[in-house]
Amino acid sequence: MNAWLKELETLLKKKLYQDEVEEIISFYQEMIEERLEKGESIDQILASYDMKKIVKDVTLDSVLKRDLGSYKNLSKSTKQILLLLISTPLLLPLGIVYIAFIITAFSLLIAGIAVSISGIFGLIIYIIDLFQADLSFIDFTGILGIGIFSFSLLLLVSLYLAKIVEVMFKVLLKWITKFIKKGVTSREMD
Amino acid sequence: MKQQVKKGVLEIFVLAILMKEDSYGYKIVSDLSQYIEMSESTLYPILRRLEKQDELSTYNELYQGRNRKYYQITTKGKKHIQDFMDEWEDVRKIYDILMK
Repeated sequence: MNAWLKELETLLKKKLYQDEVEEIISFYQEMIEERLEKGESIDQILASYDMKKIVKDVTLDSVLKRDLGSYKNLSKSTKQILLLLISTPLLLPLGIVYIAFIITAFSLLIAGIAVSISGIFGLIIYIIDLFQADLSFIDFTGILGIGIFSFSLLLLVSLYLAKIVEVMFKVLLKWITKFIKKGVTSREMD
Repeated sequence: MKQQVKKGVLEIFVLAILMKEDSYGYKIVSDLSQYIEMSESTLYPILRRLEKQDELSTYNELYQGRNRKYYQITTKGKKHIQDFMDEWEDVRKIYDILMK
């Protein structure tokens, strides 16, 4: 029993968080102990379980119910849902749409980062130019102020781009989750 | 719609079993086997879903030196059953019309 549970734990750890794994292991451990007590043999019990199916079902279930509040959860869930979509023939078209979306989202992120980096370099060059120019104190501070203001606007645009991408991911994940849940429910009846 | 009904039925089966008394995983599967075939791997996501929806609460009890997790239906869970029964009253009427 311990070897079976250990193997299940190892498989689950690759996909789920520690607390999720512990909950599932504890459920199956209790089930096995109860069945042993009722007189079933350990071989009979373990033969009745399909470990791959257990892992697939609980992974899907856990990912779909995860709180997407943090970037870590959002990122891990995005990856796992993508793997699920491309590994299930019926969901493959949805997987392709999902990949296209991820590429678009990353393009937006890269654009945001590029805007920020070019803004930083632009500001540095702008300040150096200002120092080299023969300007009065009032002109210098005025132009510097305009430069810093423009840079702040650029940063704001980048931050909004990142926020838009995050919201888009959450909305898409919720939409895909609803779609997959229908499939999960129908499989539960099988 | 069909899948929503299936989902509802499975959840109601589990909640109905727990209306009688608090129960644990193995006993829930055993009790359900009289009415519907439900494996442990099917039961786990349902229990988890009901718990997340606050329709079940859980507590541990020591049994022969090990922990046994008990599931208890909450007020929200009881309301879920009542709502389901109300909805299915109409379905029963349709059935009665068809069977007459």
